[in-house]
Amino acid sequence: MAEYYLKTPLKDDDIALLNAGDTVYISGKIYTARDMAHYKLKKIYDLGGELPEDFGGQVIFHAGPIINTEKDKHKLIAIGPTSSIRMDPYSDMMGRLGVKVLIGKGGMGDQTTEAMSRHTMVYLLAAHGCSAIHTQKITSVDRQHWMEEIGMPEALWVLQCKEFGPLIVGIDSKGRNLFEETKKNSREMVKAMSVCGSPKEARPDKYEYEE
Amino acid sequence: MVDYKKIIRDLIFKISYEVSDDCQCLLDRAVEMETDASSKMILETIVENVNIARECKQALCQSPGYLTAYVTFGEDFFVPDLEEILKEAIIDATKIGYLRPSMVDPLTRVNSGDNSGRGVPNMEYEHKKGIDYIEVIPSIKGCGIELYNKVKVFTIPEIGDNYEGIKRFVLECVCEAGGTACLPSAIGIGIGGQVDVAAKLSRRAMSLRGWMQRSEDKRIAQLENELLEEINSLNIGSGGTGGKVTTLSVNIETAATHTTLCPVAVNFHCWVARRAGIRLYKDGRVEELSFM
Repeated sequence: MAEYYLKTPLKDDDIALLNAGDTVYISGKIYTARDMAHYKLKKIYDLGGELPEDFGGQVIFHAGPIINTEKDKHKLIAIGPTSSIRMDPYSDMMGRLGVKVLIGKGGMGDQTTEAMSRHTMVYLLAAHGCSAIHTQKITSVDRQHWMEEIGMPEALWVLQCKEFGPLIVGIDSKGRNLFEETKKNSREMVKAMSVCGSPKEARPDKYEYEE
Repeated sequence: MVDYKKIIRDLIFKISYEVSDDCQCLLDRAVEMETDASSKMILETIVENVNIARECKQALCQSPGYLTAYVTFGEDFFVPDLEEILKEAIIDATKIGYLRPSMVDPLTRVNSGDNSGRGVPNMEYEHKKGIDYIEVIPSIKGCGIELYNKVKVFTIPEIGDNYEGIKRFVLECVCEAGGTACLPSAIGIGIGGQVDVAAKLSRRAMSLRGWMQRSEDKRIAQLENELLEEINSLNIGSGGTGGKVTTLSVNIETAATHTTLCPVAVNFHCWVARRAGIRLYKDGRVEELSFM
């Protein structure tokens, strides 16, 4: 599997190179957005309103950080990926906005696989629950949107990072989704599996039943 | 005069940057066992993260999870304001940045800003006759993984020969959760009682018992071992992209149930075992518990 060091903003050519299973490190600007920020972006997008940032060529990190703010100075305390599947319905919109990379944990579903092929995007898996490591790779916190309204973890944060990773390409722009493949295989294995391993004496010979 | 406030606060701080000993040991083993390149990389990152968090006293995970405190007490010794002390400890841990403020009202979704809230922490009390100490085990369990927890009430034919129905139910839950379960997970399974009892048992199973300890009931221990082996044969891996180590432990607790039914609760725990235990003795001694 290949290893890539990418710098934002990203172009379609950068993305088309990446195959499921490759390792990626990202440097430059990344945005955090989770449930509420996606919800708000969608509302604005649907109404044709003005978005707070230009997402062309950009990276969205599904994450809710801990950030201390004093006198408009932001200090990152901890950050790590959240479950991306909840953001599955928004992937097509993200593609239309020009987003090239989604980072998160746990993988995403078919809507995202389709959107990634359509808009030349990739989904990158970040190690889950590893905020001590991820936090070290963020070099600065530039600004935020909507914190007063939706709270610190849900706000849209603009961060700078250096060699953020290792990230694994979980969904590529050619239609491969490693998470869905793993799920499908495991389901088939369970169907085919004989799970009656316990010895006969482990269960009573007959059950007594009463209403 | 024993400073219970400080002892409990230190305990909550500690579990936010240090995994319990059983978890650390299993993660080290998992790195050795894994052969899939992507999942091995995830596991190596996890172990590195555990070490950095412990050394630098930094939050293990940015997600604060949900705190349940298990308290066992006897007749002649109790810390009366224990619940209040725990609440304050959570707020203090939030202020320092160990825990992200994430507790919201379930309907209005308003965030309290300091992880306080009705029913937080969740207190589980157990009375044990004749003990001269009070045992406190705070357990912070991650929430991302909660999406895939399930409860099913089985009828007798559904249980199946050699518990096949129950085992398939657990395995299907694992497939469904895939990589979202912050793998490698621990799985707590509660069997028996009514739905509420099964759900409580499922959480107790993995919060109170060490992840390397099998049930004392041989029949249940066998079921735990079989399920663990079967889950790890599904090639899901720590990243959900394939691999040998999907689950670190399967812990089952049971309670008697009515003759007509068998409730089963499947409860996932992410790899971040944020839990610790202490015994506070009447004479002022404090003893730390191990989960090995």
